Formats: sequence, C-alpha cells, structure tokens
Amino acid sequence: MKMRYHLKSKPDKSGRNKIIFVSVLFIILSLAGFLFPNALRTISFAIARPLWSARLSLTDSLINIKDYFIFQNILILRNKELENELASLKLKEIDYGILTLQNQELKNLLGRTDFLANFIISRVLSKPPYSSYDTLIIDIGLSDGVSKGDKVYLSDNIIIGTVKNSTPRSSQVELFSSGNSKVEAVLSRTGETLELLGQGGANFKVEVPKDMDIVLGDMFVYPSISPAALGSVYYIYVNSQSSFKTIYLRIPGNIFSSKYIFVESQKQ
Amino acid sequence: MKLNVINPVNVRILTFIVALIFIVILPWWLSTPMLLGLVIYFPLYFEVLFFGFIFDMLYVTEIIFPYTALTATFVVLLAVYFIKTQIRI
Repeated sequence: MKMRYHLKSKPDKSGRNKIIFVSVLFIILSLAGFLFPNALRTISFAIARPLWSARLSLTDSLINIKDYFIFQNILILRNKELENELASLKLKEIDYGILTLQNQELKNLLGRTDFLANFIISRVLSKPPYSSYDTLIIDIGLSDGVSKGDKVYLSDNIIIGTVKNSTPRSSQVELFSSGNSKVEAVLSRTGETLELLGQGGANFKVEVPKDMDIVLGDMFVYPSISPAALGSVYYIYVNSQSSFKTIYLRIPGNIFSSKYIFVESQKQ
Repeated sequence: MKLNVINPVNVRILTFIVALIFIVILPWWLSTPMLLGLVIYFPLYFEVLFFGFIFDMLYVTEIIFPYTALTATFVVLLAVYFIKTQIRI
C-alpha cells in the first residue's frame, strides 16, 4: 500500500507583496506632499476647479425649481414679509451710512487717513460640507493680488478667516473657527481681550471666570483699527461646581450659504 | 479588432475617473462611504490612496505628516484587505 502524502504548498507571498506595494505607494505620496506641496496643490486645484465650476452652475440652475411647487397664498405672504423687511433694512442702511461717515471723520481727526483697504470680491468654489475641514476654496489667487495672510470677510464688517495658501488662480481660506485654532478677540462692550478656541462649523468657545461680565448677544471683534465682528455669544454654560463658565460664540451670518466673500489684499 | 470594454482594467480606470469626480463635487459624508464601498468591492483598491492624497491637497491648509485623509485611507485599505483575506472573499 502506497502512502500518499500531500505536497507542502508553497507559502503564498503575493499577499505580502501587495502590502509592500501599498506601503511604498503611501510613502511616495507622503514624501511628494512634503517635498512639493505647492506644485501638487496647484495641480490638484487645476483638476478640481472645472468640476467645482460645473457643480456651482448646476446647483444655481436647480435651486429655484422648488419654488414652482409653492402655493400662491404662501408666496403672497412671503412677499409681504420681505417687503417689510426691505423697508426696515433701507432705514438701517441710512443709519449705517451716517455712522460710517462719522467713523471716517474720527479717523481723519486721529490722523489715520493712510489706511485704505483693497477689497477683492471672490466666488466661493468649495466650502463645508464638501470639505470636512473648515476651509473655503475661492476663485482668486496670486495673479489677482491675493497673498498668504490676507484677511477674508463675509461682509464689510464680519471677518471670517485668512488666506492660508494661494495658487495663481485659486486660494485656500482657513476660517478662524477651524478646529483647535486660536484667535485673539476683543469683547466690544467692555474692551477685554480673550483668546477664542475654534470648534469648527463657524463656532468658537472660551472659558472665562464665572464672575466675568459677558452676556448673551455680546459681540467679539477682531483687534484692529477698523474692528470687524468675529463672533457673537449664543450660549453660556455655567457649572455650579466650577469657578469657570464656558462661552460659546458663532460667526454672525451664514458662511456656508454665502456665494461670495471679500479678500482684503495688502498689495496696492 | 474587438474592443473589450468589460475588461477589469477598463472598469477600474472608469471607476477611478468617476470616483475622482465624485470626491470633488460631493460632500465628504457622501464620498467617504462611496470610497469605502469601492475598497470593499475591488481587490486591493490602492487608487483610494490617490483620492486621500488629493483630498488633503485640496482642503488641508498645512501639509504636515501624518496627512489625515491619506493616512486614513491607508489604514482602511490595509484593514479591509486583512479582513477579506481572513474571511476569504
């Protein structure tokens, strides 16, 4: 009787080769990102930019479709509300114009006439939630006079972040509210300076002593000769067992539905 | 000469192009499950490393190792590969 023994099968090395291949690819990509960040970012933006533009065109044209399905009486009511709101805003605009003029006259008296902001309007190409980071991609870059460190505004008096990186035709804006980022702010009512901690999603928080004078609705401004609003208090958390209270702030306005922002270019 | 469109290589190339478009235009909470599905479906879908790399290049402001999306895709790719070899898919 012959004994038959199973042949020992050769160990399968293809699995180990695949892991080595993937690891080498990971190392190559990591090194490439470390050695050539600007060039690779420019290439990535060049690939993504037409796709972002196409997406914006598509969403702009489709966004009004839902309005065709609204009842007429609701539209009439909404129209009336908007007319009343518009009348009230026109009055506020007149007040704002007077205050701006007074502000400029005061600056002239103080000798601060050399400050001329050069604002460039820019379209937002990508914003959260398309990105999981608190960054915006805008459609102006180095060739438009934008450079790293330029401040970015949502409107005349609401500052939201700074330009972090620029390619010739696009820029990355990091919001002040990005997770774990810190920014100094001044409480406009009392003048106290505090360091706000970004929480993401246009939110900040700061821990202060319990007896500090901060109330709901207080506005924090960015410290500068022309202070711009940074955030307003929307919630105060007080723990009876702690000697501190936590202040939660949010950037005024809705960044994530804005189509345009303003970049304060330092170049003349 | 017959053009073999159903060739697995052609399918992967086409999937790569479509996935690249989707990760740029879709929110991250839609594109992430899509990429996870591709990693599970294809044997060793190493292209996901490029997608993680591009995601970091587009949206991360400071390129500091370890890059978040690239590292996450690397870990997920290896984890899925090991699980698939263990349960022999």
